[in-house]
Amino acid sequence: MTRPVTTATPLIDRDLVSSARSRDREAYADLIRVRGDRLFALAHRILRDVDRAEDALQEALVLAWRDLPGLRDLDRFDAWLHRLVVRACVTEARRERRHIANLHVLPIDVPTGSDDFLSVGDRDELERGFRRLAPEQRALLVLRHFEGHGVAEIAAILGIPVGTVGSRLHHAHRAMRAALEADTRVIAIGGRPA
Amino acid sequence: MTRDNDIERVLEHWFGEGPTRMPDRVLVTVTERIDGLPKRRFGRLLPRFDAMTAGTRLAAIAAAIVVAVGGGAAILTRFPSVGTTPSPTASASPSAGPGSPLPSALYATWASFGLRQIPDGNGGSHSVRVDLTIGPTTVKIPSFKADIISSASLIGTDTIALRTVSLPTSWGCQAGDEGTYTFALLTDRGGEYLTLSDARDACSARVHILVGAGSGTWDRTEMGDLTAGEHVSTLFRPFENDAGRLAYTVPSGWADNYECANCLYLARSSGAAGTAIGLYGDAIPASQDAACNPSSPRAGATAVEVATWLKTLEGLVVGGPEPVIVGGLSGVTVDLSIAPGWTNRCSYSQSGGPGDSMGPPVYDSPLDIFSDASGAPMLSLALDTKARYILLDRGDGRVLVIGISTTDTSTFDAGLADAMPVVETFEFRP
Repeated sequence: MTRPVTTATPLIDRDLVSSARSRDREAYADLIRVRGDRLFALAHRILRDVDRAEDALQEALVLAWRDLPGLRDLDRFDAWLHRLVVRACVTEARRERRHIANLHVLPIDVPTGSDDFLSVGDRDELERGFRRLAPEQRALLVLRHFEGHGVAEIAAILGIPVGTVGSRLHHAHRAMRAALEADTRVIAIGGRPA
Repeated sequence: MTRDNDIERVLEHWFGEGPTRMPDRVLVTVTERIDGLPKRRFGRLLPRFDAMTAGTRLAAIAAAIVVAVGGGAAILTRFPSVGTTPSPTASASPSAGPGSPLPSALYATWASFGLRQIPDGNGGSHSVRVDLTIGPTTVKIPSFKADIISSASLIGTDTIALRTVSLPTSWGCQAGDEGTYTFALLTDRGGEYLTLSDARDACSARVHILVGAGSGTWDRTEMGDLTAGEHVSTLFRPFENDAGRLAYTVPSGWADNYECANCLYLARSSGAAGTAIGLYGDAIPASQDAACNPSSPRAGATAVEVATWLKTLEGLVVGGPEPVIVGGLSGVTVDLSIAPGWTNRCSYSQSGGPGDSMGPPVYDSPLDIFSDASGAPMLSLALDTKARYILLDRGDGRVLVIGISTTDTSTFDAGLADAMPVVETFEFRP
């Protein structure tokens, strides 16, 4: 599929990417400084934990520095970096699922723009439901509904066919809805006050 | 609209909450790790630059589109004149006349290309991806609490007029607010985009959403839930001419989840779990060469030859082939799954593509089966899935593939029983 990708490198960054690829550390730091907030927010939404998001982002950025000389197309730097960050988050989330048998609902770190659309109870249910999803499904939903990518963009970032994205996005929505419904049933059984 | 919409809105709102700034220590740690030098060496790196703003991102998106157009990859399509009203000038008013229904090419769900600012009711705004649903006489923008609905009409070759019918009370607009927008479609092989510009609208919130801070670009994503009965594909034109579309009939509970010129993706929106049908107009057997050499020999071009090639692939369990005729095209059916314990040796999506260095994919995709003409992956088979591929001879030396898949292997037989009656209604109308 051919279509523009929202993570396309701004033209002004091509020189920086080229310099970083030639092992200019300061150029690389400049690249990261511009993108850091966005990548950290992405990692946090997938992992729902500040510390884990930091760890995953660090791993991805170190890996990116290591492999940057192999990037042949400078214009794909952002999509490539996105993929590395998402992959690091998926790896971190899998580790989390292995080591944490009983998931805990963490408080939301810095609520911004909150209103009465979601109650505290709603957010708790979302946290629990989202954490029940497979890490890959979490990543898909965040790319779609946080970063606002289209199906073809997600395909480019994840390196999978467009049709596969459509299918997995469909399944991720179903899984999220099922997780929320399961949570509702648990709540009903547990008798938590409405 | 699909039934996923409620959960989508909730997720977009929820994801909008949370930290948005990378702690400085991340950059410090990274620079230490990649360099191995003392922290003081990087003192000049510590001061933060402002993060890329939403406006900058939108500008980047717009630049990407301009590059695509300038590179000749896209075609700017203006609709032919539908009504008799001349093209509007800058002073055109939506009240100049009742206009005509909108062109059918606009009827779809469109996703904002990039984020848009929508009012939060407290004087602020949320930055979210927004969906836009366009029908013959309506434009609907789903909101968190109440949709903003406008009546719509065409008042020129490329101008639509909107009149607010209903909207959330907190948005600062009034019922009856009118506005005009110039529209255009940008198409390429991978998708279709709608641009809205030149807004002259009494409802500023609507302008913020429809045009935003940048290009006012919308990405066609889906036709949405399908009514029971016959439908004709909108973008999917496997025979590369205006008439070459697919007619199909579905019962209730199916959705058109994605279309492009070379692909169509139908999925169960309710009922049987996870059943999906994908059509790919020109599927080329993916290179299985150990060195990922794109010039490695391809399989034969006929459906039977492709099926024979599939049976030679290490790691692939193939049932069939069985002869089949779908929509007047003849071919064969094969049922595929990955052999237990098999590890792929060369996959486009594992390497990022021949000659590419995009790094490993996020998902494990054990075996790419088909690619498109550019070599990009089109159909792959994961470890935990089964699939039925219907390989049809197009009559021009190429193969059209219909793939049927389900969420997991346990639902495959039920999914097939659900999907095959739909496939049997397929009719290609060259």
